[in-house]
Amino acid sequence: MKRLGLIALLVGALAIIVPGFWGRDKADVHIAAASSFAPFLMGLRDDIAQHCQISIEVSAGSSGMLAAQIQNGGPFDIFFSADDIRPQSLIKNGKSKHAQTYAFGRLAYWDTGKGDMDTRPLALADPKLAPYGQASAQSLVHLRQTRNVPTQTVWGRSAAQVFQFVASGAAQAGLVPLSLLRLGVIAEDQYTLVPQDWYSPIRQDVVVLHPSAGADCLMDMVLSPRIQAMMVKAGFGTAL
Amino acid sequence: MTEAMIEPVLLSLRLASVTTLVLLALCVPLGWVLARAKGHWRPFAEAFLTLPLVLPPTVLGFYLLVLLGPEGPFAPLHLVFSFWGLVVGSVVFSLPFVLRPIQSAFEAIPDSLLHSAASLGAGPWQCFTELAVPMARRGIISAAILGFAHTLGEFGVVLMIGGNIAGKTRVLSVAIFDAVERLDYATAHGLSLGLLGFSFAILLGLSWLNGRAARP
Repeated sequence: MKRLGLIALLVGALAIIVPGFWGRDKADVHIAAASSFAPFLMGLRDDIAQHCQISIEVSAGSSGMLAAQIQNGGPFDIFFSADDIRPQSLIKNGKSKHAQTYAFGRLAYWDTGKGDMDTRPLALADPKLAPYGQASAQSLVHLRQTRNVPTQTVWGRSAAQVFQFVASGAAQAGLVPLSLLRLGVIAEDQYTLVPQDWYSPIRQDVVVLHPSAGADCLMDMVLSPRIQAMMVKAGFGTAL
Repeated sequence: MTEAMIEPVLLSLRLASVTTLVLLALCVPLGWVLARAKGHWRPFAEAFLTLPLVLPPTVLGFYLLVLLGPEGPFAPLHLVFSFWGLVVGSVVFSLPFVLRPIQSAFEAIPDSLLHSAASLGAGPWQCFTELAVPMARRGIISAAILGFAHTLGEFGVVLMIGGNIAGKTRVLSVAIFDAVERLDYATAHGLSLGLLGFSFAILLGLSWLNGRAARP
């Protein structure tokens, strides 16, 4: 009986292991994209396939992690960062020729209006880690002067984490990218756009790591007025 | 369930199975050696082999990325951002979880028993395969369960050296994180429930096996 069980276990394990690599490398262009921009790109998949005759694969992550992976041989053809610092460092290290701005990040102040200002904190992206962090810290100074905001602050390691802090109710309010609020379909009366002169521009750059006709087509497309207009609707500032 | 949801599940199962088999092949002999070792080096070896528990997974992942990457000493193996890179990372990360129970099980075997076997003419190999391993089987099965479960849920290392590539390195835990970051909570909940339900079934099955193995 014991033997039977062990054999069954082994057969089960082998059944999982052997079919092996369907290692489909079916994508023509492999894109690394900051988590804040990846959903927008994925929404363009069919559009890109039709327009450029290529299939894309999108790997999402934080800009810092993706840059570290590219530096260490990550198999990506294009990198959409949520800042302009990581692309610059990749260029300095010879991973790409030049960077191009594809969008600007826009900050919004999201106040759930629940709870009281003294017990539940304000959530911000960490200036040392997150591309939106520095702009958040700059905006906070102005924000405190103009309205009543929670006294305590918590720092998220990414904009998505800040969003989750507020969405879960753990934080009373937060400074989050407009694109995430649009993506999460948050009611418009819950947030206000932070004036753009409160923070230095959140320039979001893209670098091509392995040039190809498909990559060129995709870049032209992303910078075209049609797609840029879609980006504005999705909560980004246009690069045009 | 769409293809995008099933793929990470199967990938995670493959990773956990392969990792568990590799870990057993490594840790059964290693646990035996450590359990029987008398030298002064033993505490050093034990401490060293427990180190993967200390570093946070993303930090461990970063160092593996540098070691396995194109500028690291293991570059010719092309492990980074591949399935086998994930296996290496998971083996390192789960090693203490598998080694410790196996070593304890071997240590629990009384020396007198091994001496008797030896005096009856059993060689070291025979002592190991016919006495020690069968006696330590509960510990070995427990270790396999821990290794398997730990690999299924592993996230930080796999995200760092895997690169979140669909069909190759986007395992279940990474796919869940990915969905949460995209605010796609429906997919995240579905995958999480699947992970919990499936893991429960496997752990239950293995515990049942363990219970059977316990009977003489």
